[in-house]
Amino acid sequence: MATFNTSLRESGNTSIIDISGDLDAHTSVELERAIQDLIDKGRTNIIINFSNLNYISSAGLGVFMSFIDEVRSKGGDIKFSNMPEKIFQVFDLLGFPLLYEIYDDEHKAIEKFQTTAS
Amino acid sequence: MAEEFKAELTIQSSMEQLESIRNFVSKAAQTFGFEEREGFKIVLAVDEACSNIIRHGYGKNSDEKLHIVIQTADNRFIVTVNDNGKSYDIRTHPLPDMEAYLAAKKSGGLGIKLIRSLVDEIEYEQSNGENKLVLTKRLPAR
Repeated sequence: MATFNTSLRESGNTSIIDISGDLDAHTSVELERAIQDLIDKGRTNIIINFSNLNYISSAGLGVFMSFIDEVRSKGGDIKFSNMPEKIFQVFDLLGFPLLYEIYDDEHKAIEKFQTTAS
Repeated sequence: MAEEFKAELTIQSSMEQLESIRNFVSKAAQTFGFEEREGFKIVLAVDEACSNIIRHGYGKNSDEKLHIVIQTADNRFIVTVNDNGKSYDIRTHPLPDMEAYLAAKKSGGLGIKLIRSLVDEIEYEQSNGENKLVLTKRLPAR
């Protein structure tokens, strides 16, 4: 069975979800749950840290697409950081860098949220 | 020089099996000589194809089976996925315009787009209730 895990950290007004393992059509529901939990708590400044993600398929990409409108309508955003090259190639192939901010370093994404905080 | 071989896997039609499918394809791709980045592409294409069959072809009925055959010929790595579910020729599927897709913030429907971007050739046959999807990826010229 595919292993996929999420763990949550907080930094000021920003929530960071570390994801690890394989994000596929079987495991994507766990990421959905993690993001939905944050939205339910009113935490909509979200960074997804990909540093330990081994694999992603379209089911994983679909999770980000399904939440982005709601999160932005509430004044937040979903930003990505520390993406391994093989994961980035999937995002790039589909043009996702046009819609999402992708940072090499998580701290830059945190700074962006802090500087845009109202 | 790419090593020539044939490998087969028969597996239940469950999303839980996707990891086993990926491991099977990944190991074969590595043996054949794909570097990690190219191997990742054929693994992803097969994963997307199998996810679609499980979800749409079999309607998530996990009592069915998928039969996957990997063969190599010269510089070609050929993955055949056989199933008995509802037939669908992914070659005829209209691809989304990604700019409009992203602007509309849609979700879903990206699997076929990925498959068609990641492999070099796609063949599809349907006969007597059996579907055969053949995905071919060539070793990049060195």
